[in-house]
Amino acid sequence: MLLALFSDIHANRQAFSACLDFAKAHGADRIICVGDYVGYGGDPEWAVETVMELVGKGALAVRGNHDHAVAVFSETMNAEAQAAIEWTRGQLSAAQRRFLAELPLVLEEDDRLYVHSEASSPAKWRYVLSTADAGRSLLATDAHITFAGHVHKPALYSISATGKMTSFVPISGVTVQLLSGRRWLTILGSVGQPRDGDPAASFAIYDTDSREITWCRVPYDVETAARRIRDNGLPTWLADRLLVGR
Amino acid sequence: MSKFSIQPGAVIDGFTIGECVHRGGMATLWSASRPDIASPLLMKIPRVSEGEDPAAIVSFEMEQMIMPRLSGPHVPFCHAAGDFERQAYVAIELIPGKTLYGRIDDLPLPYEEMRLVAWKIALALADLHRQNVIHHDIKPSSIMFRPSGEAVLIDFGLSHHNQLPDLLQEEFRVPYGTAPYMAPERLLGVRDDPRSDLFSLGVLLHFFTTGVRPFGESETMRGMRRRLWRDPYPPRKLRADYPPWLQEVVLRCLEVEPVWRYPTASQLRSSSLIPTRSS
Repeated sequence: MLLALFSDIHANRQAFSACLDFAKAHGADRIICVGDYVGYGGDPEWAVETVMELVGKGALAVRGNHDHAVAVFSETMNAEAQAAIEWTRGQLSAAQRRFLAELPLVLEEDDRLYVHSEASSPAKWRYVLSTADAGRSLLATDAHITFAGHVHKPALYSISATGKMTSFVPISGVTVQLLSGRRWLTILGSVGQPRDGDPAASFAIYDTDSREITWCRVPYDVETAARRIRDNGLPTWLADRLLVGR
Repeated sequence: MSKFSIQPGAVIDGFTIGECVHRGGMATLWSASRPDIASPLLMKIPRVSEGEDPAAIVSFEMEQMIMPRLSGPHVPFCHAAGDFERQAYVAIELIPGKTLYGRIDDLPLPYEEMRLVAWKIALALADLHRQNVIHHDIKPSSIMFRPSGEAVLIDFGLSHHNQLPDLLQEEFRVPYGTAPYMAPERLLGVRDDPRSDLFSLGVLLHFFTTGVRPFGESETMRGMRRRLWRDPYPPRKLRADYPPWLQEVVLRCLEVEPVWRYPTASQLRSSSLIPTRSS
């Protein structure tokens, strides 16, 4: 079965549409969304509506910190993110906010675990930026593969049977086999706000039979996505950064 | 992990196991066959039982990832790879004949003969490097020749693929390789420079034309580190009739700094090793 895995969509309609089309064209059977459907971007209503529809058709979705902040009112963020959160909250209907609030923090399926940040303490929204961070997450679960997002830059970590960690920055389009002798933490990169210097939307396709993962980069209409942010009066840096992928 | 020991006659994923042809430190090699494959096969199975070097597992994982991606006449064709979950193996094309190590009793070899051998190895390295892989264990026992003449590189357990995770780099602090052939930068933890293979080819060329290994056989880190600051004896010091052009090739391959070596295997081959009409 081919899984299409999306993270950090951030209300970017143009990016998410392009990724969904790409995944469909490549024969993806099942959609997994690992959080942050809203925040930063100009189309939060569409983004939540789309995820709700996908979940209605059998997709899996977990909650991200931006979804949590919009729905639960408790998170505080940096000024630009906070401005977007407050604007987003006003855009969503009560039903949409409830949908976000009720999403689970973690889902498990076969030998896989889906979480927005990391597995050791999902509600703390810790970033996985090093092998030490990855090790903490990998030791907190028995899942063979953990799929996460939150960092906005693709990465791949593994832990061997003897407890040794490895880290790797995946190359888009190059398939990596997630060997069964070790356990893996994959960081998907961001659909709607990539920060690794490549403005193209990032997501991954995973083949559960061959255990092969491929990171995909999809060019999309960045200018329109940026204009949607500006037209809605959101901080202009949120628009500008899409053009440079930072 | 391996759940049973391999016996002749066993069937793994449709491959019937024949005789054990080699027991190495990290893996065992078996002849094998499958009804739909006409040519003879070799099954490589890692040593993974209790007490074995954990590097054997990691190096096999590297081979499992890299071998199925390689193609062309300079590598054995990989028919299938099995995961550790059931029985780890790679099933590859059997290259008939012996490795270059079989010539070790004949050293030193004639200069013109070694020019052609080095030319063939450089061609194979160029093809491997083009496929994003650095071999990292170039030595006589890693090199075979097809009946049609092409050099074939074998054993990719220490190799680096520049588009895949390098599990050896991340997991082990000591450099894995064969001490006399290891490039100086390997001792400093560098695994992503293809010119490391050109250094190893220089060691091989020096050894096969003089009968002497340029940096000895020491396997200690202290012994190996000498190559970071001590020049090898020039081949002409060892053999008065050594051709100056060949000494230039050898010493340039053996430069301490990768940047002072040939930039690529193709440049080494085409600028310095073009076979003469008589060879």
